[in-house]
Amino acid sequence: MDWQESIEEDIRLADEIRKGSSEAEACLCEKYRPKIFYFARTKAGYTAAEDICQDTITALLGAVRNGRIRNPEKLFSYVYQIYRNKLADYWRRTGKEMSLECVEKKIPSQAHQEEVDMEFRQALMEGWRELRLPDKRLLYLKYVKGMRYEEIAGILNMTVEVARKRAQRAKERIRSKLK
Amino acid sequence: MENFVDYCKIMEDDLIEKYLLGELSPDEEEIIEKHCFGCNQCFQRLREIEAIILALKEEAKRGKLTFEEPLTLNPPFHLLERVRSYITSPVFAAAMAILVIVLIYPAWRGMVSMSKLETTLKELRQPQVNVQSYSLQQTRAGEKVQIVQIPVMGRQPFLLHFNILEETIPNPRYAGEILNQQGKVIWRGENLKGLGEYEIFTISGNTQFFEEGVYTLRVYEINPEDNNVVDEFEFFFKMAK
Repeated sequence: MDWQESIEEDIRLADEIRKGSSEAEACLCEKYRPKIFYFARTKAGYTAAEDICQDTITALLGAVRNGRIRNPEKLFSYVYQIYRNKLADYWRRTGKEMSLECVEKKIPSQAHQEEVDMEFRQALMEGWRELRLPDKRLLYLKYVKGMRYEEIAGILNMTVEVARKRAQRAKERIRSKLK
Repeated sequence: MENFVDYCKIMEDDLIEKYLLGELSPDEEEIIEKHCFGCNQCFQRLREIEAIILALKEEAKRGKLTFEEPLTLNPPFHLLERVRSYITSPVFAAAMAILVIVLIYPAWRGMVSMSKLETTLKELRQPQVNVQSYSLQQTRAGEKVQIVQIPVMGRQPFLLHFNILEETIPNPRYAGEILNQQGKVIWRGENLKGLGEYEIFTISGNTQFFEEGVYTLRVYEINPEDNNVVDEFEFFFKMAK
């Protein structure tokens, strides 16, 4: 579904929800829940993400039912704003301040290991085995060791731009195995 | 309405990666996240790249990441990858474009010239079916004979045939020359050969080299032992429009 189709779907669902359609409500939840959960998990962790997601969905449906969404074509932006508000509420409730220094890395080390299932790992390793040695080293230094491209370029004796492009192509090669 | 569609163009893996590794400012992160709320494709790509990075870390922890060269990749693929990394350079692309032009232009010229050469060769190989033949009558000084008229029509090949009726000495050598009406020698042949049972001599010419007027073909009978002229014969023809 492309961008325009997504907006048209939002407009249609908002209209149907105002008319009392429970099916439309389920569709809207199904559409935005994964996104809310994903971003909430990266910011606040797996457990908190459930609460934040639920609060956001509840607030969203209430707003749509009561006709408070004036521009349905901007529904995604409204959902995001609700999510951000609920996230801020969470931080206030837990006593934590969300500052630049406290922002964790977006990839939690253990939060969703279970989501990376065996089939995915096998496909990924198949892609890994087909990579050339410089590409393997590049991905290892970047994602396992957490180095910057400037450092990697110096180690592997290539320019920063080449390092970026090779990393991108290597990931594309792995992604082709995942599909 | 904000044109978030344009963000799809900047949501390259590089930017997604920076987001995943926490290398963006909070404002930049907000832009990425808001876009993903509206764009399913970019959100999906974000999740895929995250999964790849996660899985790589996990496999590295397990010691599963090996650093052996693959056995199945073909050498041309490696070369293609290397070439591809250079092709993106604008300077390299410009240099290649110039090189192609420099190489193609002479080749193109060669092909054009070759076509002309081929046309010329074809003309030379093809038998001339429209060649006029003219038999010249031998004369001696003072004799009057009917002069053969050869029409001058631009570039037209023709053949002049003549026969030497008498030989003064056995096995002579024959030489010839053509003189224009001013007496100037315009052609000379040192060793004329007769063909066939009747020893018919043939000289080929092209009308484009002749102006209007009467020409004399003078043939010399030469003693091959001392190269002295023992006899001479004249044949006349006229070029006329």
